[in-house]
Amino acid sequence: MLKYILKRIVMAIFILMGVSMIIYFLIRLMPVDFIQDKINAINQGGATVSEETVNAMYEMYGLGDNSLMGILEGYFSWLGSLVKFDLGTSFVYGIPVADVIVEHMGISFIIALIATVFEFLIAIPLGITAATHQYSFRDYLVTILVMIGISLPSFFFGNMLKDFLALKLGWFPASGLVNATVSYSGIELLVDYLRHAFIPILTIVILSIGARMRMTRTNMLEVMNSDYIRTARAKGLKEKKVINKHAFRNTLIPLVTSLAGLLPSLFSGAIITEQVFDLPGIGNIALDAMNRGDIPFIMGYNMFLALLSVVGVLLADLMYAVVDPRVKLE
Amino acid sequence: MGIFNKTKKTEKRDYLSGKEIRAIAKENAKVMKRLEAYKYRKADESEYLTKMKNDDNILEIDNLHTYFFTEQGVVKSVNGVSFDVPKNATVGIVGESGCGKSVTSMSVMRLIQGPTGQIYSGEIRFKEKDDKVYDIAKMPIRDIYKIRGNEIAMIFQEPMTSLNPVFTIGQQLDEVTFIHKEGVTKDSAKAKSIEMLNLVGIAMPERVYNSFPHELSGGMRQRVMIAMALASDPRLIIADEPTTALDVTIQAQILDLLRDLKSKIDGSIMLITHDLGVIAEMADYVVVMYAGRVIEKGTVSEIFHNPLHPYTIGLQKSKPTLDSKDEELFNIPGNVPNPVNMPNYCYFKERCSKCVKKCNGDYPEMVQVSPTHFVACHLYEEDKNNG
Amino acid sequence: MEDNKNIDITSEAEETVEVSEAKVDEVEDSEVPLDKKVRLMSPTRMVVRRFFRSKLSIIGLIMVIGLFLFSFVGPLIYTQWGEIELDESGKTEYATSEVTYTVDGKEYTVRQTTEKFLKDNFLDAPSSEHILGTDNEGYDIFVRLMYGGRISLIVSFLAVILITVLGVILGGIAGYFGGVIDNIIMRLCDVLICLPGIPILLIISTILDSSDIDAKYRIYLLMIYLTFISWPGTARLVRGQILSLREQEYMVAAEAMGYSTSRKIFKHLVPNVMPQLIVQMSLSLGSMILYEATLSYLNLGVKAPYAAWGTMINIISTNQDILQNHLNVWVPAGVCIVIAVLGFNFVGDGLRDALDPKARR
Repeated sequence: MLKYILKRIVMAIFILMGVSMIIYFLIRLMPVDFIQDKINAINQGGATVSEETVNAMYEMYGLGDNSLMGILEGYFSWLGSLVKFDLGTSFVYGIPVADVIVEHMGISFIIALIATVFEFLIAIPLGITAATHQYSFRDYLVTILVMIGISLPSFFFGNMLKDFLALKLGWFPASGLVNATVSYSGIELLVDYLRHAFIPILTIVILSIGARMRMTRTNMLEVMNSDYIRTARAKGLKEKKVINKHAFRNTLIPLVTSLAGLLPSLFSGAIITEQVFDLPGIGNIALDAMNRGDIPFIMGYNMFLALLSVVGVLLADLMYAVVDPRVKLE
Repeated sequence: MGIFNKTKKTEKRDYLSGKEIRAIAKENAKVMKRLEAYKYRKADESEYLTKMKNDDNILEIDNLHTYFFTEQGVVKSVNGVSFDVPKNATVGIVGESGCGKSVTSMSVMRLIQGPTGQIYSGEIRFKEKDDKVYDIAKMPIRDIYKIRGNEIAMIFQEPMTSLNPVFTIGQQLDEVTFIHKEGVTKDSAKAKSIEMLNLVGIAMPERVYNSFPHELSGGMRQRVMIAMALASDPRLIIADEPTTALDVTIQAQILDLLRDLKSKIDGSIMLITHDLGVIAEMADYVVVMYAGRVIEKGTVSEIFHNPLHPYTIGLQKSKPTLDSKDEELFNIPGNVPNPVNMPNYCYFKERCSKCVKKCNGDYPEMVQVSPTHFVACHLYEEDKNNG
Repeated sequence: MEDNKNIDITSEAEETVEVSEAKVDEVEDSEVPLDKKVRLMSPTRMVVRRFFRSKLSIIGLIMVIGLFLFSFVGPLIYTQWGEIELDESGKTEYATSEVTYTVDGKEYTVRQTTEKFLKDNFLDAPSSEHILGTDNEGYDIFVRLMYGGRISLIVSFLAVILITVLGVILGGIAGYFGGVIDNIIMRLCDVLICLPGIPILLIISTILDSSDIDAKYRIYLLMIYLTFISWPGTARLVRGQILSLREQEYMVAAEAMGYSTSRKIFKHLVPNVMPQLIVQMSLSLGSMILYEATLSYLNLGVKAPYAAWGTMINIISTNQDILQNHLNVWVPAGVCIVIAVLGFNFVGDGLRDALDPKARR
């Protein structure tokens, strides 16, 4: 087991190296005077990017030296600071990029977590009934729901919900996370948060539920057609127990594995949804920073995302080994 | 111009038209709905209580029809099958693949997967422990649990995939005891499971009890399957090609085991196989099936020493023997006919080398040639008429 | 008795001949038994029939064909307005204001209405002149929907074709040759799969900003990047298929016949991967359209004045008045996106079911 984990971690590090290389060479494609233009624009916009910050960035990325050795040297100096979790200083916010990320990822995580919990709670039972009643009315209903879920663009659907539930009906606030005009505390503050987060969470749940339902249904169908389900029936087990014990336990394997793979990505922020509802999550912050040419932030955020997905793949693999007794760890 | 028109007109449709498919689907949906409702109905026990024709039998299958309602039409997988399983006997069912042997056994277990698969008509009479006789074909599915896995147990063909990969052998064995016995504790269930593992000749039952299916070999898994079938003390064991997926030495061991067990458990075995050797070694009675019908049945010696139906004779000839001098094995020409919309004449006609004029007529009746030997072939009807 | 039997035997022989003749007749007769009809159906034909039996696939096909006609034939028929043709018929806007003057301690309120003539007829309600009205700049929305469809469909088709070509070549090489080459390609896949999608597109968009690229072509460059990070999915599919196909007997036979490597790959392996590939392609068409729309919505893809469905929705992120009161500006574009994605998904699903040999109906 330990050997397997170590092997996977070493592989994950190599993948991260590869990702960082690609991101670094992308940034090197940017002309230096263009970067200067962007900094000037930020300075005009009110924030001040100190000379120090800019110089630190030039040094960190080794910009300016365009010889092959210069580029390699720049890459390794950047990699060196990455290892120390030093992502440089954000132009727009004037504080270290890592701090900006840590500060805003909490909100994204909580919203994504609530959405994911609902997604699984709704999608799994629906997917299972669709599979156990194949070709029935329920099955068609689920199929259509799945299709709608995976076909709606988030920015369109989010705006529709916002227009309808918030602006037309006025049931929920349209944007932001807190009511700026009233200062709540305690339980009231929590309720206010939830009211603000309701439509964004609803959007995410409806859009993600389709794919999950389809996954559950496909898996369940495969399991239901397998020989051991026939054995369980032949034993004299009631159909309910066959489904809830023998079939469900097998369907759970890919579901739990995908959940483990999903966990890290909950921190990454839903860029579009957060933008539509103007939530102060990491995704919206990143979009804003990037539109304003905050290069250290772009680099840092992309590396952060890459790290999350590498950890996700790693967790999914390990989880697979835990839940499926057939997987031998060697 | 004229010629062109003519060729166009005589162009043959080589597939079902959309209209035909829709008509079939509509018809199927109607029948399936009725049969499904019948399957899931609530019914009093008296509705499916019946009487045995012969009290020495434990199972009597009488004119059983099991159909699959597919989009191409109704597949009559089992089309009027009748045979008996006497007490303490082993009945072998032989036939090519697709002849309806497995569907017959699944019908007895009521494991045919609806809504497409349905028992259409016929009786399956089974004598329970306290001598009540149930008609399994009429039982609503909610009552079937009295019998399924309890009085009748089944062993499947694929030991590699028939055990649930995520539960240990122990969990899967204990489950059987928990379902069918009352007042079972965890310890007593385990004791029973270990006893069963011992019975099927597993050397280290404790270790196997705690292992997962993928940790066992195919032969071991089949032993576990047999132990699972025995755990509920059934009166009838249906073994659906129990040795097909195993290699030859393991096959022999499993067959020995089955033969031993039959004497130990005081029950009957319904053995389904396409291997005549297995039948010769194991069975007391043989039922030969072809395209969803029984074409010949009798005792082992009758079928092996005096096969009557051309198909049975062909089967015998296609079996390799050590003393045979012929270079090439005999094979029966052609294939089993497509089971959709079968014609009403002997299904074997197109492959038969002994066709007579009568073969173009109706499907032959069962002819009794001895108290235990029956055959469905026009060749032997004459004797009956003359005698 | 004896004689009778002999006669019987001869008649038997005659009958056998008759039976075989009857068989020949039967085949030529138009009433071929049902089982023979079924057996003769070719696999391609069966797939086509199974595809068209599902109502959803037919609906999907109609949606897709409809959109194609709308986007490519539509502008040729409806030529009243162009993609970047402003309606300069003008518009009068009235604004009322109240000004209070204090003269000699007395207050006078003067209500003042200003009449403003604007050059462009923007935010016009739907009318016979503009089927879906005009947007905030004065462009005809209906016409821009058609041109937006062109971009979406062209871009996503190009991207999917590129993804498939790259995926088939690299996946095929990895699966066929195995060993070190397989390892290198698969690790490259691992890396590319871990690359973030939209955030990196933001970087690339910034790079494109720095070089003067025509607003019309930047979406193509962005989609090339998307191709670059999307091929691993297809490559893995092809590789997996080829690994399992390589174990099949007919590949051993091809080996024994001494076929060349390229013949083995392209004549024997690729056709066997085709069904899954076609399904994958039609499903990724949907996701590519979504991607393009999202990029345009974020103002990274097609930029004004050119039209794309995403760009047409983009305006509501800054203008709440349009979000709330001018649904005709942004909802049609969203509906078009949904129809396109839904259509391709229905077709893809229908194809998957039709091509699945294990399908029970």
